[in-house]
Amino acid sequence: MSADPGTAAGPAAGSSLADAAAPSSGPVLDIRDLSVVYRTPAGDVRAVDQVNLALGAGEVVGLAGESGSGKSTLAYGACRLLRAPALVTNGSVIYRGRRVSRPADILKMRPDELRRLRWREIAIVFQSAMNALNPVLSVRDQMLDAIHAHLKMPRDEAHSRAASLLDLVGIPRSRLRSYPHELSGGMRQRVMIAMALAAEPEIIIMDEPTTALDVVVQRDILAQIVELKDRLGFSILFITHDLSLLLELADRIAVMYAGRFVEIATSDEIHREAAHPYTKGLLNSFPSLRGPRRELAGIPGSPPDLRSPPPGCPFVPRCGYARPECQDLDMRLLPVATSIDPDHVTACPFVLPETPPVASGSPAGEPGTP
Amino acid sequence: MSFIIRRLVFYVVAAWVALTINFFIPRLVPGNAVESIMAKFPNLQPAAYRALEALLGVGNPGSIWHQYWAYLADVSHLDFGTSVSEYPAQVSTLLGEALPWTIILVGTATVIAFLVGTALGIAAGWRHGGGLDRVLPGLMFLQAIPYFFFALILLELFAVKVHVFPIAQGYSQGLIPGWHWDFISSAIYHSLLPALTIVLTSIAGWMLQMRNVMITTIGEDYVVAAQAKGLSNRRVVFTYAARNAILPQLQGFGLAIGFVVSGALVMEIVFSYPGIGLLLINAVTSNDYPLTQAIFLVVTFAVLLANLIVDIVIVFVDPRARAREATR
Amino acid sequence: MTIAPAIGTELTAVTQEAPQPGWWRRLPAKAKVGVVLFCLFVLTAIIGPLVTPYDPSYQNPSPGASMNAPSAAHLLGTTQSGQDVLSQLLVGIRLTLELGLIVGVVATALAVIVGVTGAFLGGFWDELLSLVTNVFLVIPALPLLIVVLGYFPNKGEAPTIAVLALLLWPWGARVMRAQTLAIRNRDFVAASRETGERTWRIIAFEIVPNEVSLIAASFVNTVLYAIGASVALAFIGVADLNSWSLGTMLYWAQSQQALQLGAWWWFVPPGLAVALIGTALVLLNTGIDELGNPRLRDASSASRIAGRWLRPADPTPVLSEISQRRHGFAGFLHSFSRSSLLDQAEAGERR
Repeated sequence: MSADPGTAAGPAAGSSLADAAAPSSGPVLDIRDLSVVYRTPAGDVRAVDQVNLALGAGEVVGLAGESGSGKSTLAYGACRLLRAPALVTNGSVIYRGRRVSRPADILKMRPDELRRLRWREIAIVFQSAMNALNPVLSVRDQMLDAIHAHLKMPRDEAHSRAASLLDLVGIPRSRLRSYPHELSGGMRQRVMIAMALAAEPEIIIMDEPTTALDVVVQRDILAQIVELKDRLGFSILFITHDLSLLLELADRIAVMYAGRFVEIATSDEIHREAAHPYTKGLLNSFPSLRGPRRELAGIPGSPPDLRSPPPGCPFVPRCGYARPECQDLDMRLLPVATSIDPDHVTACPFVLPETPPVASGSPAGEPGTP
Repeated sequence: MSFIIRRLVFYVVAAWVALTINFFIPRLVPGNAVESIMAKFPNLQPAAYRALEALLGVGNPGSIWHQYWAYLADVSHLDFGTSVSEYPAQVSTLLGEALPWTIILVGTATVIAFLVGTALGIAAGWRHGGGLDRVLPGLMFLQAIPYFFFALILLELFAVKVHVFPIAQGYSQGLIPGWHWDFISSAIYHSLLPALTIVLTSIAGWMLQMRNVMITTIGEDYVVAAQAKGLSNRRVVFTYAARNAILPQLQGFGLAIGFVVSGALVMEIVFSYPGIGLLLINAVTSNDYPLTQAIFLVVTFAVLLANLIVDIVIVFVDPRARAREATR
Repeated sequence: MTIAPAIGTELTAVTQEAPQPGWWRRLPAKAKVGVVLFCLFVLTAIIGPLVTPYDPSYQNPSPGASMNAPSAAHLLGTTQSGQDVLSQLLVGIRLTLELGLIVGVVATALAVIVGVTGAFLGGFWDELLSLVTNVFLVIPALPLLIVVLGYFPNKGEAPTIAVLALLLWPWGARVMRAQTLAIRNRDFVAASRETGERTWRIIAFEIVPNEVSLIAASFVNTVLYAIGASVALAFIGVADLNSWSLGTMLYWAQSQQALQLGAWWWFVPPGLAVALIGTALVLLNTGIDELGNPRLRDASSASRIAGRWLRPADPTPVLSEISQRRHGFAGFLHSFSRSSLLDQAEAGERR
């Protein structure tokens, strides 16, 4: 579906999401058929292939997958933040934020429209705060940058806003004067989050925000994120390789492999009965605190070379259920009939939650009837 | 502050090493240098010969330590002895006459070249692949040309063939140096071509270096983050990218000062510019050891001082530098 | 529920990397030019002195032979004393290159030894070695060279090479030390230590091979500077003025007023030769830089997408918007280009 490229509403001072007009129908971010390639001298790498994803208002959607699966490329590509040699070859990304008068396709926006969209509507918390913060500017200056770029307010008001943002994430106000290298890892990440909230965005994309932190700090920050989301009402696209985190945090989870989605469902459903072999493999890679003890197994092998993607399903070399038909698969996402979640989809038509694994050595197993 | 003090100590150590090398080299090289000088310049006073002997450690001037301390004492009083080729002029006098010319010419030209080159480098790094990049191979060629050769060419083209610039000297013949406009304007006119040479040959280096640093810096996460924040291009280029890229560039400047000064000295010779360079070549060809040694020391001290200034600037620009040294 | 690892035997190995093009193809165009240019000079250095038309030192006493412009007999003219410039040039290129390369080898070897060892040993030795390195970095080399060489009665090639090598190693040492510090704490080094491998073996076989591109870049830089310095020294007169290097040619040209007398054929060829050798080396260095620093390489090849140059600030390009931009005559022309074929292939592949 095409939408005419509307213009985002100008930044009204202090307009918060709560005051905005009634939400327009449809998801806040609607990604349709998105494909992103990296054009290298050795060939085109299909990092993201015909991907569909919808993010609703106030929803937390988790994007799970190994490194190199394309999750970051998907998120940054949707915002057009990828650098050369990235190229968006297909698709549309429709944004329907509550402040925006008409739905707009991000892929068709002009640079000035994009700049208005950035941070004010879609903000990003980067993976490594040490690298994402300018080393020569103080925290205050960087926050003021974000504020002044989108909100018109006098200087002292901006300053007090910066201070109150730090309050939100639990950092003492005196830290406004500090430089990034003077802060601890957890503090830096909180500063990143505070900065992301500076213009009251509709969507926050969080790219592995806690991967570099130790577990205790991780816990704190995640709790903080959830609390802020409930209070301020933004949506989150949470990117991580840690599926266990998403099971607790996300409303819905989209599992990605080799640039494509292989399963999308609510987190409850994924936890209860995942449908795709890859998801099952991921779930088996970490122990759960409760429940019976079982043998941990990883997923042997490594992701395919995206320069020359294999025909059919890319997971075949590592899949315990692989059979000859998998090579002809077109990777469409099919509904899982036995699921509680009506929107539960999977890319594997042969495997159902109850399908037992193939005994090692035999080339094909009995298919579960869809 | 402690960072600056550490650097100061380092430079003092470096200066001491330079002095010590200066002191020991003539004593380590075989052959009797004094005799060859005496043969070249037979009309020096006996005191001058003795001074030379003391300088070079020939004869029986006393224990090494005694000589060393005497040497250091002399240097601290800026007493570099008497020149052999320009006898009986004092070396310090000769230096004093030539130094301002060199400092003004080389200093100004280098600063201009650095600033313009860095600005061009920022543009070239930001607009990677654009027009400026096409000029790169030409610039590399320019950078590889020895300063003095380029000076020869420019001189040939713009002074000999087409009389735009004067051929030589620091000022027109017949003018008396002094603080009056005739002299100053003539001096400026004569310094244009040498300055142009310095700028043209060194600008390529600064630009290339800054371009490469910019490209690396632009790939850093915080620049992407700045763009994600929707900041204006200007802010991203200058406050996020260039402000960080300038740090390695400044450090490179400190390291390169020695090169630039050396190259400029040789280039002065081509123009017969009355600076240290000309003094140096005369001293070398006539084996005027007191003069060559003094020039070496003065140039070294100047470079060390410039490096110290660069370090101070870096401390002001980079908040991490103060912290880094404090935690060591 | 466990998943047993199963590999379908009928599938080809999809996890193998596509073969990387050889290092020659991966070099950017600039570097290739540099390599070719440099090889040309090396070739000249090797066979040049064997094919000189005249003896470079032979002075032709007849006044008519002095300062002749290039002619059939003397392709690059003659000097003030009737010597053939071309012959001098051919010999000069060899001498100059020889000197530069020897200094490069010695200084780089010293740099690697000092830099890597200091970083690897750490502690007091590291402090001491880096102090020495830094002191010699900051003292300007050319004036020091002039002073030191000035004391030698014959300023021949040997003392020049020795002094140059002794003054140039700090540059490489600094770089090597920084890189070694970064590598030192990596796992594979720790593993070697655990297995009791001796220090020098670890240095030689584990650490150094990882720094090859840095060593190469340092070598090229040293040669560059050595050539430049030796030419400058000779120009001032601090060299063996009876030998024919490019620098001494310039010295004689300058002292015989070649410029004022308009004898451009005397000073332009040697200077040009130095400049071209220098350019070749700088281009080489750029190539090594780009091979070693992926960002520079990616940046140079990747800023051009579908025929358009992109700045880092530009948002990720969208294919449809790019192809739409070409209408009319421009579009017609574009349809012949390779990138447009790629675009069409793209469009055809959309399911």
